[in-house]
Amino acid sequence: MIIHNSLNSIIFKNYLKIIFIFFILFSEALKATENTYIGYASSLHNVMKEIINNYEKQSDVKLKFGMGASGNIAQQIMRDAPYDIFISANKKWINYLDKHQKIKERQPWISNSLSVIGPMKSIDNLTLNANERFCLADPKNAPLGLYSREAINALNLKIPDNQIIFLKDAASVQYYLSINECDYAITYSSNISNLANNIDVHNIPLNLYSDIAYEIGILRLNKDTQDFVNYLHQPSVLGILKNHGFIIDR
Amino acid sequence: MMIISDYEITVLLLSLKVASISSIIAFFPSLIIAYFLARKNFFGKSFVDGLIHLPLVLPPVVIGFFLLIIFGKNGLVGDIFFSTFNIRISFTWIAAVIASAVMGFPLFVRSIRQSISEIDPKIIEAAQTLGANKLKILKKIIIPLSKKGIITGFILSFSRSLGEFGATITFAGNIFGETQTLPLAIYSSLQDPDANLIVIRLVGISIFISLAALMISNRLSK
Repeated sequence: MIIHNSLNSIIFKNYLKIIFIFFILFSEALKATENTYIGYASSLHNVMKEIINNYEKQSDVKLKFGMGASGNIAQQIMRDAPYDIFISANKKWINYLDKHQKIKERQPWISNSLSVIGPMKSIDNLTLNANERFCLADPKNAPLGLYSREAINALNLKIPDNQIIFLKDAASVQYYLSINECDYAITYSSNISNLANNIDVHNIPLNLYSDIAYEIGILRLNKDTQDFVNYLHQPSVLGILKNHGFIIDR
Repeated sequence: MMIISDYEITVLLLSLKVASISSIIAFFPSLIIAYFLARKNFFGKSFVDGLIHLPLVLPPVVIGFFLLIIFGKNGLVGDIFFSTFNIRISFTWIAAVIASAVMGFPLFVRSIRQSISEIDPKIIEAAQTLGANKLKILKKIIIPLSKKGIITGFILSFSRSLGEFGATITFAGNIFGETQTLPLAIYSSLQDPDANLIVIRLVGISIFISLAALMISNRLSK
């Protein structure tokens, strides 16, 4: 009781000092953010973790990263998210930021391909039972959704609207596939390596959708950002990307 | 002439449907559990109490994740429903109802429990000596005397459901006309550079409904 009272009185008498100390601590924390922020398309999720890990081993630059649907990150940047580098899974969202003068420099990067996943012998005999769900990325923000829609039209697939589950980005399509919530899905071919073995994967011919052109946008030009972007073009990095199923030489 | 668009009406009606059905579903179990927590002492009471309050303190996404594990197509319960009745729960409006009911449940229990514990035990004892059975006591004494708590609980759980986001988007997805409730519609529109006006309108609707619910609750519980 006595201890309790005295602690209370210490806090009460010194509350201004305590607030001041907190203020100092937080302002220090805010000042210390000389990091490089990278926002990237969620389809790069696994591979970027590897690339960033490798990069941090050889450089003393701290990288912070956020991922999501490319459109989502572009919206965040429009609302002043502090990204220094933005990697989009299509040109559309880089163009969008470019139009709003957010991009200082842009570079084409790698490519990808699409696969249909689901229990069928070939894409031609894809038929959905009333109970089955087809997962697609939401074309509003996820480039995967736009490419998928092109492929669906070209393949002339008939999928009833009420059987489509729109997911927010490529990573969520992969997640919900992995827990078997989706009977069918269209996903990037780079994202299928960690799916269960008994799931059928069918590549969609490349000519049925537009080129999946990943593009790098630099929002803040300095040595750190340029070093990292140069690193992204190095053969060792491209090798890792190729192992993950990305297309390197377009 | 139309003040609100078809899109907004669809979203609004779905939100109201999900909120009211989930509150109705949550009512009966809440009443039973509130009764036991308020009136009885049993082994593990504080554990049960804590368990019931978990949805209040856990991140809603965690609740959504648990619901997926339980009611997902391959989940513990979901699998039985799917293989025997061919019914899918996840990513349907039923999933949205379940998510809301779970999130609103602790609020419901809390307010009913409060009312029940304020009932004078002598009234119940008197009813027992006069020969009333448990069901009759529940119907004639406990429910009428805890009316205030039930109404408050209903409104709280209803409003919680109108605001539910994390568990719903994880377990029920964001499907227009099926699981896209008000907060999910606002979130979706926030991602769309051309939808600023829609965002403002949806936010307005959301504030209006929540405020109305609170005002009705204040009026009714007086």
